[in-house]
Amino acid sequence: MQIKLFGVLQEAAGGSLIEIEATPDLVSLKEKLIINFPMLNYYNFQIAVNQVKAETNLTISETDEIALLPPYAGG
Amino acid sequence: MQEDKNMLSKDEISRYSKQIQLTEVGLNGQEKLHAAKVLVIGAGGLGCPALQYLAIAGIGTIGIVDFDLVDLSNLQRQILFNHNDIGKPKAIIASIKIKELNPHISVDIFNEKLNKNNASKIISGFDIILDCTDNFNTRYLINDTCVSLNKSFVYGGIYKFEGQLSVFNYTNRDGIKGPTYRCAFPEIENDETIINCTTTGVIGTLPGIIGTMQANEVIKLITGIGKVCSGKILMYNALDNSMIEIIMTRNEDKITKMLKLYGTQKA
Repeated sequence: MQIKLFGVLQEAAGGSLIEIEATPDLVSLKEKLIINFPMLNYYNFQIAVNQVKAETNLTISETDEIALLPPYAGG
Repeated sequence: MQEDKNMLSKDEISRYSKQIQLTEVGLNGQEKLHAAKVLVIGAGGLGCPALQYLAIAGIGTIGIVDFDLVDLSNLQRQILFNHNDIGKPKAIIASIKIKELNPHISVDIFNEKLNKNNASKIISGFDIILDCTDNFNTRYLINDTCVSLNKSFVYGGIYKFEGQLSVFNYTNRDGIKGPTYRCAFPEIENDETIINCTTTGVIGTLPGIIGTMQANEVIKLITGIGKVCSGKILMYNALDNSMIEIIMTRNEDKITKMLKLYGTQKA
């Protein structure tokens, strides 16, 4: 499944769009992300599913639009 | 005869005529702008354009918080300053510049760093706050103080070619409160991961765009026109002009916990 990255996470993972093996929910997605892109573990980010910030562990499918959002410090 | 300071003068009505001509704003909206008190925290990349537009829109009282001095490397994006201002306090210079843009406004200068000791005192004197800062610690402090004082604040954040915009802790016409910064980004960043414009690059037009959007939200908040950017974060990419909105909700548990901690720290 494809994951869209914003801000500093693009550098942490090496691109604005990354591909990982599909996972059934957000907890397993995050685990897989950290294994495949260990630098992501050093950043605070939220996960959005279909442009809605996820508040709990949601079930996901390959067709869902997943995005990782960091806060931006700059001003 | 003493002039009513809430009334707009002939000069002011002429100055703001293009705004007053908008039926959505009108004289009533202009008077609301005139009566408003808006605080801009951070007179940098976001703060400079926001201050310019707030000043010329006729916000009656503008506060500026910044402890920093103008540096040569600021001039690429901090458009209120020029080479003659290098080494001078940003809050004072920004005040002079926006008073030149619009002599009808009052400006309160806070040439100091916002911290736990002064935040409530400074913020409580204003209706709407703009978070134009460049670090997470101050952003969380602004959030916690605004939530405890029940004030809306307009958040802007930038990274390289990307910007974020949201109005946090906004109460809508039905009395329903929107999410806060901690609802969007709950965990405090590790200081070592703090990245701002001094440690990474930024395209100069980006804070111009996002800071101007922050000022635009303020005008909407005061006049009551349009839809406020609450309940979502707008993500803008200057390279491909994409704009997406991420919807989010208010998390009362997080807010209650924060307020308890905030009260403890204040005591």
